[in-house]
Amino acid sequence: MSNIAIFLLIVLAPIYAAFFEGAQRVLKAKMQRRIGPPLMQPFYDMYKLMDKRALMVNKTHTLFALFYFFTLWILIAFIFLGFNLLYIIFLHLLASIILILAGFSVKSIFSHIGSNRKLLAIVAYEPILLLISVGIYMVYGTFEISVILNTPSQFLSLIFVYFAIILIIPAITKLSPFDAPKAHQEIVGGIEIEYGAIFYEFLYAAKFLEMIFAYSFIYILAGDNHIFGTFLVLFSFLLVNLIDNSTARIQISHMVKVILVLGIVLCSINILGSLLWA
Amino acid sequence: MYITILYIILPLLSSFFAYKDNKKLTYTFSAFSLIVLSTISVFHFFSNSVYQFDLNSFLHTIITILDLVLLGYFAFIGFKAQNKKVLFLALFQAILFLYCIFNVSHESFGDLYLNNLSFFMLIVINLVGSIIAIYAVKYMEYENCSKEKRRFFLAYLWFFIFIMNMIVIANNYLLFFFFFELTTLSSYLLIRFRKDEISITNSLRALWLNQLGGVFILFAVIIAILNDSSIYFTQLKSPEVLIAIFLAFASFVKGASKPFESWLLGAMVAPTPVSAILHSATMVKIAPFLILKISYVFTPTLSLLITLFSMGVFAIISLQSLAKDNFKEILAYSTIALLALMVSIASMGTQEAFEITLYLIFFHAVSKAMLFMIAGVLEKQYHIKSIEDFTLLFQKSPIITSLILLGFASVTMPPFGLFFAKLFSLTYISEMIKQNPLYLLVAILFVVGSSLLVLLYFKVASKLIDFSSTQEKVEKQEVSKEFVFSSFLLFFIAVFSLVFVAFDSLSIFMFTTTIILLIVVFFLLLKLLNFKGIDRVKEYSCGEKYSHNVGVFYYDFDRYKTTFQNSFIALLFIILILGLV
Repeated sequence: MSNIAIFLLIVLAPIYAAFFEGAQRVLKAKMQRRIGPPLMQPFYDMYKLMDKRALMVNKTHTLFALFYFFTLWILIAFIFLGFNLLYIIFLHLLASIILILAGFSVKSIFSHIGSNRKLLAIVAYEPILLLISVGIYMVYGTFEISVILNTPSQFLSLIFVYFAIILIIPAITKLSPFDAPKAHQEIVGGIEIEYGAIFYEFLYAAKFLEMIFAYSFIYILAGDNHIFGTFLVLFSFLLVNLIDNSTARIQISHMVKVILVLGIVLCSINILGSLLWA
Repeated sequence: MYITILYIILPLLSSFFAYKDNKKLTYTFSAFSLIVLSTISVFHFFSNSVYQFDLNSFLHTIITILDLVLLGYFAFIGFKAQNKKVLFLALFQAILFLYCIFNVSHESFGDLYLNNLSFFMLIVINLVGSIIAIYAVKYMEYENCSKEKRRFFLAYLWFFIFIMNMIVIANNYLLFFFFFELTTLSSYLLIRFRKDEISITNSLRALWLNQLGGVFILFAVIIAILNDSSIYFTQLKSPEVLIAIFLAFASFVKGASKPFESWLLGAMVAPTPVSAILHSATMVKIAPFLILKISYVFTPTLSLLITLFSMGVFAIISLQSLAKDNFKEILAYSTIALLALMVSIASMGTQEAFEITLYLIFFHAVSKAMLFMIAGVLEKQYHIKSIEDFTLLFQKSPIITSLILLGFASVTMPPFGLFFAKLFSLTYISEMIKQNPLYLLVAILFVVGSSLLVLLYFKVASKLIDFSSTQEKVEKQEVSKEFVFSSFLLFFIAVFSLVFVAFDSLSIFMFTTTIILLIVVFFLLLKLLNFKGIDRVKEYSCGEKYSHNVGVFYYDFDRYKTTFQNSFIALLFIILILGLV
């Protein structure tokens, strides 16, 4: 890819990621036989949110939301620049911690519960993300994304890692069955509740960037076969939404157990398997 | 060669002036000692120099006599406090020690040995240790005790730094044993400083557990004598696994690894934070240091066993820490966890593992010292011990809160040093899996343990920063500058040392600078930005009128406590048996 293309991919990330979100909502509506919102809905939402009267609880709280968004944007830049997978995972951890601090920085019970649940969600998926990258390292021999994307595709030897990624994508993008940190019906959106107007837009857009982060792991699995990678991402997108529509939310404590146990087992199978073939 | 004398003289001089209670001279000499000794150590560390020299037989005799006096003193303590464990262990040690003295062959080899590793430890001890001793001068002004006792305490801190300087350059097991016992004595004296009930109980526990470590070293010496092999670290040969195992056990004791962890926890909860800092920042670092010294003789099985054992300690201790609410105790738990991580990586025994351990030791010493200093400030100026009392701390003192958050971040987040150590260790462990699939277990324990540490730190943060927009103003409380100065100094040392890591490759450099910029911009905006014209609102509370008080979550695993303890004791025996096979 030329430098200009990479530059555009980075700069326009929040915009095309918004289409991703729009598509997700259209897809969900179709699965539930609703008419649902149009593809451009995230943009309409943006106009609406920018038009509203801006309100805030306190300065720290608001600043944390802005920095959550910008850290994720930098993270996306690092992904496209082909950095080390581990850097990206740790940077994502930093972004999540900023979000958690945001939730803690107001005296709101919902926000606090949301943050606490998000912390538990991190305990669940963070180790799995790291093990996933160890699994990728076993097969491709490197943590550098730029190198992996130029190595012949070995997707089949990473099939269990793929399942592990599918397992944690709902936890990262807050989809059912692992959407306890957000849980609109129980805790009114958790951390999101205390944001409004333009500031909520940042949080909303950050959600699209989280999606890019999550799905980029799937794209990486395909190695240098970019067409297959794209196909895989689209297929997983469909699969994750299907799971989202067909499952109910599970408790946060169950979520931690399920993700840790299943994820560790899946990654271990893959890592040990790749040792046998090598 | 004569520089070694500086490592002895300067701390002792500072100790002398501290005892004379001359504040100006104490500060001057402390600063002098700090700068000179750290500069010398840094210089020699980077120039890869190696020095070794003998002590003459006269000095040997004196040290032997002092050793016996020390053991006699331990026995006396045990007798006076009617503590059978202390008394029995002191007598047992004395018997073993006498056996060693009469049977050891008088070979002559460098008794003191300074190489890369020793100079590195000297950097940590003199840099971090001296800053702590300087901080202690101010800290002790708040302590409710007689002037005599305060002088003694400050003098003793410097004496402790002298002991630490000596223990890392001792090359002879018996010499090492002497200084090891002296550090045990220091723990005992520092922990029981206040002489209330809890301090005395904890100090006795620390004493007998650490005496166990001494017993392990003497076992190693006796095995060396029986096998007719050398009692010098540098002469350790690869078939002598049993010696290595016992020395490793001694390091588990000093490093407060499971099942010996209770002494360090006691040391932290006992109300003397300065000694807590010294313990966690410098003294317990003997554990990874000792392992680094002997890990080259480990067989592959033994090194895997110790790595697995310590990584297990790392994960389990992180899990257990989630139930605690005392701030210092939380820090103590994370110290034990990270020490286990260091020991675990050190015991892999290769050059790469060696470097990663050094990163871990240095950055952990700096960030833990900083966090403990803040814990001291919180206790002395705000009378806060439990994390439940952190409410409104941000309004009371934004600086302290930011320092705590940065301290937490320096342990878990990029771009700080410990993050790099973790990054490199994960890369390295992944490489090891290719050689031995059992390292997969190490990797799993490692990733789970480190994410548990994130949970531990940032659940504390929930109490730190929560505040409402509409609440009445809380009065700011000024913190004394001498307190904050040393914390800032340590923080800048941590950031500055990043230079050595960050220029490793372009991507690391970009990564580090981006995040540092992000953090700097955040704090700048927090200071400058006012969001004028945007209205403030109260939080949503379902229409309820009363205000909520949010607590911290605890995850209690104490019902498994005995199971954990017993299984780790069993694992020690497994290491002993399988390591020999």
